[in-house]
Amino acid sequence: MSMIAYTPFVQPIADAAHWWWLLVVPMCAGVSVTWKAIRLRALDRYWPEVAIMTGQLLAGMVALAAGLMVLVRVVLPMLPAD
Amino acid sequence: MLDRTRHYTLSQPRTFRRGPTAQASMHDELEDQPLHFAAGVLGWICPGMGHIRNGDARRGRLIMLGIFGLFLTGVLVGGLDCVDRREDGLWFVAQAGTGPIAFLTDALNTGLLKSGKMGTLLPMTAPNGAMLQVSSFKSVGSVNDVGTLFTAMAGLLNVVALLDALRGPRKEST
Repeated sequence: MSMIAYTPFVQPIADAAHWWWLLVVPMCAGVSVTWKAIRLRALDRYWPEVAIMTGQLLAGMVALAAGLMVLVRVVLPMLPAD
Repeated sequence: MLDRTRHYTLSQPRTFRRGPTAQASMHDELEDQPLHFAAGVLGWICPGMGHIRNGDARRGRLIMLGIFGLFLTGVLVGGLDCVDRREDGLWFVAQAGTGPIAFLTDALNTGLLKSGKMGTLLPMTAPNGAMLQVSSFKSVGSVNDVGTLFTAMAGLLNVVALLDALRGPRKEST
């Protein structure tokens, strides 16, 4: 019912609270599109470079998340409480 | 031991040259060129316009796509409330890098949401006990975080883009 009255760009997307983490993909893509446009000397291989950088950013974030999960769920519980 | 043989004065332009063993970078040829302030200002007013003014239209359009894409995605997800100069001052410093669109979004947030022209104003008790009225369209939680992050990221990237535009046209551009 609330979606009927939804006004894009004015109201937040209420449903996004459940899948906000998926928005890391467009964020990485947006950063890559801008960064590669600035940094590349020639733009003939622009879109492949953007795709590679997007993949690298995503892989880095997944690795960081996995590392933090191991730290919080495995390493920290093994430490003595006192 | 201080090296007193090298003196810099304000009247002399300072250029920093790499040693003979250093690898040539993409900007080596631009070191001695003056700064193009008009391109920098244009790049702030409208992301990508600085590069278009420098004759690099395709690069400018791609920067425009990236910056506006990030900013509009942020506002789409977080709503107008994710750009707020008064409540999120430090974030707004980053968001202001996108130029007038950030100030326009903040003005719309104040004029439409905080005034109650759109949505309804709801009573809320602040942590210090004061009674406040907040818009029913106010974004909270992770949705607000993501929207704020997208718009701030757009602003910071546009600062990088306009610094690049300040250096003037590239000798080899496609």
